[in-house]
Amino acid sequence: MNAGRPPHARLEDIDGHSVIGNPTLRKVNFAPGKHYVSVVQVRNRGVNCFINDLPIVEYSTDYTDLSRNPKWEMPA
Amino acid sequence: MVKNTSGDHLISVLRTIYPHVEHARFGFDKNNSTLIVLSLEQYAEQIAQIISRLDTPAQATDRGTGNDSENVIAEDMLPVMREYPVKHVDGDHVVAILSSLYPTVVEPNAYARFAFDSRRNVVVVIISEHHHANVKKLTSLVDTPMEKASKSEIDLLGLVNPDVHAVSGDWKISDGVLLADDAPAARISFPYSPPEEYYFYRRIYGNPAVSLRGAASFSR
Repeated sequence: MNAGRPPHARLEDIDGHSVIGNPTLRKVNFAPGKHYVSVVQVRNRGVNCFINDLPIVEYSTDYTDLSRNPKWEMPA
Repeated sequence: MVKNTSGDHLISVLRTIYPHVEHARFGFDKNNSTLIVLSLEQYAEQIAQIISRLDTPAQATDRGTGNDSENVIAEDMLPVMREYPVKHVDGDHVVAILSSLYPTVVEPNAYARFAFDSRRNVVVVIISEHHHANVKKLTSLVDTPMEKASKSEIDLLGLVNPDVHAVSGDWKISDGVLLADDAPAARISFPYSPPEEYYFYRRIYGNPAVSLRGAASFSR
């Protein structure tokens, strides 16, 4: 969530694209001080992302096109 | 013509059921209290049935039991709309769980659609008839008083120790809330391996410019 200004939400990376070229990029009007609930559903057939129960991303994939962006590198 | 509920509420529920503009678009003409629907032809009758259910007087609402034949709007093998009243939990929570079990992927003929009508406190379910028995069972399992709730969910906050599991940034738990500082790309790793399929639920507070950054992953 919250990529750039205005804020956007997205599932990243897709085919190596984090923001530019990411087909799931979607503008979301986050407001300071407001509460949000995010739900990420990981399924064999794809990923669904919701913010306050609104579908933000419904992405069908076999996961071969998804990868972790280098800036979010985690220990093995 | 909308008579008994607000156009905004009606559109909110309909957009949850039909989130993709390629399938259906909704607008409301406040001057004439008229809901405007542009949809694929295959959805027209279904949408009309949903609107007729949602736009009922609050005091006259029949919340149904999931068994009421009056709720059936289509043949056995076609998507059927039923309503399931919720009493003990947030209907959005029920919708989230149902959606996780019946993924509503982007397809013109998505086989399951769910929404919560907060005005009448009912979960609207559109799914094939043979799935409704399970939906009813699942809804009754989820809609239990807090003290009877099952332990099917894992509380990750109870597993994580920010001093041990923080990867980048300054993390801490305060009043049951996991907090990160404003460090760029703050990260924390939960000591838990999720199953192959799962849902990750988090409630987010504060300034989104700060707290919506932060990433979490799983490890064991």
